[in-house]
Amino acid sequence: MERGAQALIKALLAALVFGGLVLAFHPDYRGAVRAAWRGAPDESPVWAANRLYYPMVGLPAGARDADAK
Amino acid sequence: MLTQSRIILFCYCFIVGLVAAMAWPADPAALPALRVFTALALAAAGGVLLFVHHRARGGAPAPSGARWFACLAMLGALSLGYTRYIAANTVPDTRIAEIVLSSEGARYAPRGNLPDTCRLRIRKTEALSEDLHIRLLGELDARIAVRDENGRAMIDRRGRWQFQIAPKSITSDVVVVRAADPIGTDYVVEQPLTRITGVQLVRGPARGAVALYRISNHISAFVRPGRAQSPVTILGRITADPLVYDFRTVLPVTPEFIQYPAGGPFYRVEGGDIQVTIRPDLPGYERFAVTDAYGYDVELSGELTVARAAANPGGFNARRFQQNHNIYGLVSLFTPRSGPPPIHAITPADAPLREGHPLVEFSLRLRDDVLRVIKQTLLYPQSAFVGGVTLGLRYGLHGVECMFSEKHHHVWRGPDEPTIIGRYCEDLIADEFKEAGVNHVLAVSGLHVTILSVMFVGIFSLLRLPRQAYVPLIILILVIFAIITGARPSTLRAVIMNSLFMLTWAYLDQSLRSSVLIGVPVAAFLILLHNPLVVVDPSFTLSFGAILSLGLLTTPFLDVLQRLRGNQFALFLLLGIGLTLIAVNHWALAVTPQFLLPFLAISIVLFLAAGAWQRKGRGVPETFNYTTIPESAGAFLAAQCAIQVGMMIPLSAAYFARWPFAGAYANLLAIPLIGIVVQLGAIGGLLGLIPGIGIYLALLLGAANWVFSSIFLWLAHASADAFPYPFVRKPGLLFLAAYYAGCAWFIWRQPLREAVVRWCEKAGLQSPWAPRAAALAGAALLIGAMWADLTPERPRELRMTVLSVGYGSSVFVESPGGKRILIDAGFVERERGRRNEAERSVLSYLAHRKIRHLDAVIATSPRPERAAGISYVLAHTWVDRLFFPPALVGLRADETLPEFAARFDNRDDRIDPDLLLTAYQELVGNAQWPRRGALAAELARRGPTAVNTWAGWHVRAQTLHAGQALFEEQGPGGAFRIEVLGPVPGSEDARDFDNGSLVLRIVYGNFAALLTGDLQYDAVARLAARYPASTLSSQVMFLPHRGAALGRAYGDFKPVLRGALGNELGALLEKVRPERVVAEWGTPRPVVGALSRDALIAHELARQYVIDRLGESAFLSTDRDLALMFASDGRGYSLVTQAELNRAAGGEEDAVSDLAVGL
Repeated sequence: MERGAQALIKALLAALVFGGLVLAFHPDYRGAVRAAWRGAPDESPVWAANRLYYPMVGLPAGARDADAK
Repeated sequence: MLTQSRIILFCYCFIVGLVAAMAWPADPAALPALRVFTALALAAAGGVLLFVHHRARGGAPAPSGARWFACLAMLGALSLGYTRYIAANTVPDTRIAEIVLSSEGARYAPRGNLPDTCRLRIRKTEALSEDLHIRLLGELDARIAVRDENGRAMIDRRGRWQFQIAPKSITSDVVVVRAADPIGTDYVVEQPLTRITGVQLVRGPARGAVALYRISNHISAFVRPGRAQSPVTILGRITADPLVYDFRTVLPVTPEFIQYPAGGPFYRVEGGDIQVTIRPDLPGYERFAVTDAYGYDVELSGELTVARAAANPGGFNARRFQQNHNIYGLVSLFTPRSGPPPIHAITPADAPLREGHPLVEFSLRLRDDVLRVIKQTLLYPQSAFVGGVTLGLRYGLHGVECMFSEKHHHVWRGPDEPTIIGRYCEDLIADEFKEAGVNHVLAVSGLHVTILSVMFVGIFSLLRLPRQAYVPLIILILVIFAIITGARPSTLRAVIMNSLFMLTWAYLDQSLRSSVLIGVPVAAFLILLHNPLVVVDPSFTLSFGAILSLGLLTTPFLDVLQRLRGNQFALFLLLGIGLTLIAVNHWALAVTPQFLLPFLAISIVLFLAAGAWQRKGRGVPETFNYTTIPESAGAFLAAQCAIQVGMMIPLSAAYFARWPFAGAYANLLAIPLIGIVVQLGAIGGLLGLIPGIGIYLALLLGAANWVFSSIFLWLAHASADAFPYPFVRKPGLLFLAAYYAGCAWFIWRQPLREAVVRWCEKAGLQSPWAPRAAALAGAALLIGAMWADLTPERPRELRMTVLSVGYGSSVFVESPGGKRILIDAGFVERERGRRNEAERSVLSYLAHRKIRHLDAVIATSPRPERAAGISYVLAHTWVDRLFFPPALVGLRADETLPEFAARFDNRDDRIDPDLLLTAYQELVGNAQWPRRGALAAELARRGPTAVNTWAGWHVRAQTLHAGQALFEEQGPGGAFRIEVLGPVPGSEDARDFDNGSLVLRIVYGNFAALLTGDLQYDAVARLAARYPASTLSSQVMFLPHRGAALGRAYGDFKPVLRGALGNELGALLEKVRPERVVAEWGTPRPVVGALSRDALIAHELARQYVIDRLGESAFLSTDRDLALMFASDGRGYSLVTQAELNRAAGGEEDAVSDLAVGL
């Protein structure tokens, strides 16, 4: 079981690289990074795509307040 | 090791006892005796164990004592399982007193006091010489809820509801125990009591006795299905996470007190949960549609109902499914026209709102936090998929269309690019998962728990922690994961097993195999001890079936596969690929004996030849074999074989009557993929909780997961698209027993072979062929048993089953000679409800009856509520002939809508355009959705090609008209035939959309049933005038147009309709003189849309007319009586309704004795 640890690390690193490529080339993900950087997560296209999915799970009040300011 | 074996045996004996209770349930009155017996057996086993232990320590082993211990422990386990099931399956009423009659009057002989305010019943326990008239005397401590200034019930900070007690002396109404009633009859006492002080004999015999029972205050005792309801008030608590959908929220509530009836006293509820449904328009909805609602104390008022049991034989029994999860009542709350909302969260007067269990509260909040991260890092609908598999939020996928449909194409292809894959797909993701056989990933189970366990072991190993230190932490994480995902049986099983494995691995250093061997039965024991009713639940059975298959069948499959070498291995691959391609292209051929038997024979010959070639050194070298596949991949393939054979094929057929053939292939990719998706989802979700950098790391992982989850969704879509998802015959217990006996032989074939050899030697059979002959005989026995189980029954009488398919029609007829004819196949709702009656009701019923061949299907009308389902029936069953009404002659798949409309007389625009369009789309096809089923397209696929002819798959289509007779045969009770009475060829009616419907009369001996199709009342009058009474006379008559014919009357049509009922229908009834009149009824809105209100009124007028004329018992309706099963021997007929069967099995309605709450 412990042998899986090294494999896990490799898989995570690979996923991070893979994810980096998606962030670089997918416009919605680029928008999501920009929104996170601006501190306005509710402007993220990824968040917007999920507006109908469990709508009662919203962003924390702090994030919304920051955006409102 | 011995102790481990005994634990395993104890657990399995418990399960056997439980299954025995299902098969042969005892009377609930025997429960006290069973409990005593169980306690004695277990205590005796414990005593013997102590004795043996004591002797062993003294140096004197006592082998006979050990055997006694084993026997007593097994007996105790059997009895415990049996008792536990009976106790969980019934809520026994308690016998509290006898009332002894003598010449001096009635004497009250109590056995104990009432524990609370209760309702009572008197049971006649012996014969009485005359009627007994008796009253009960007692006191009632009526609970009245204390209310605050807003009129809301009050609770204190410790969760105790506040009541005032209003004591009251009660003298009950006179209860009459009739001398003529059989012993065992119950008589309910209308007044509830808290204490009984005596009885008053009004008049009665001088000798005898009756018993007094306390009716249980289980919540199911307050449910009154099928009756005019009156609202009840319930005080209780939300004890689980609310299930939030986009259009409603379901609150799981544990009731503590119930006011029953309205204005009556409050009873303390003794068990059973309810589900409360609220909708977004309800004031205060937002407060309950959140995780925080868990733990709220609530007061609610509404009608307490119960889920409907099966509508058709073998159909899905929603009531039983819910009761298996301790849900015994449903309350649906609506926004009141005036007054306060019907549900309130109650805050203690001197404290904030109470919360639920802290660990559960923490787990649910953690789930919401992780879900928030998923929503921020994954595009929809991939986020719904990842939320489903990582957090168990499978309801988030409810109603989500395939991501390759038009709805989601902007996510996949970009907003300006056209969708390429699945352009016309309107399938739901959840349905595609079922068809692809990958639905199991949404049921959080061993796969997910193991993935998480391995992941956390990996993480802790990286931190260089000793396993003894981190294993308890991982177990805590798994417990939190189980709570987050809803603690379903499959998750609990996996968490218990993984925890056991972790503990034995960390502290005892045991192997995986030994931990699986003990983990499976112990997990099953613990889950079933808590709730024995889940033993038949698919989530329990499939989960344990999967793990047992993996544990027991993988190695034997690996052994067999590794033996294949060279030529034989190559041939095996080729045959496998060939059979798969044939099955994908023509499923019907691949499962037909006329194909399978030659295929099997040729395969055997080829295998023998391949072996012979190999021995001569020809062909593929032996180095080409299963071991050339990497070891882990080879083991994985063998595990997939094990899952398919041990679980998927038999249990999927037994539960769902379908086999997800694609699963055998799709899972080869799906399971590795889900490992990646779950790990990335879990790690990303947790990393996202870190303030600051967390969300960026989560975005990186979420972006990668978006790709993997997209691949998974595509895999499911492509598999569902390419592979068939056939209906199969639903196997019975005999088949399953024989099948698993065969699996057991496969697993333990070596020791079994040795046992057979020894047995032959003992029996003096010295020939080397004797063991083989014995094995062959055993195999023949098993195959024979399976064949017998799957062979449909052939009644030697006429049977006519009217299926309950909502607002639509489907009648299944079996002639005395064995002909099977299906008349119509119900409606297919395409919009929101997506209710396909053909699959849901008709094909399920045929699978339940183990029928896959029909001699004929008759479409009596072009109306979609009759004909829409026929294309689905054709897609899944062998049908010899298809009969149409004359207007549908020469139906073609390339017909245009105007061409189709020209078939019918549409003077004065008499056909509703929407209805005509729906009929066209169902019968000819829908250009916008070419993947949908349509009758003409299905008929084109069933043409007289060579392959179809070989598979028996060719359908001959033919139109019918008045004067024809079908399937004439002579049965033991007389002649059988189906007479066609309408439409008359060339008549005005023949081209009418409704009046052109086929009118059929099913005749057997002296019995007849008249099916009037979709006739409107003008055609009904013509039918009555055309034929003499002798031709129309029938014991059973179907109301024309299902009892909701409107004709062409609009506006204030009631007077017109009343006139038509009295004249036209009256004239037909006069000639037919039926004893039973059938209305095939259900909610009309999905079919007739805006006209549904008119249809309801028309139906009610027709129902009232029939009842007034023939009496209430003559009127049968498929929404109230559910499926109707007529049988006739040619002289008389019998009728059994599904509602009666449900009542007999479920103790619903007015049962006052022990409630059978489970099976």
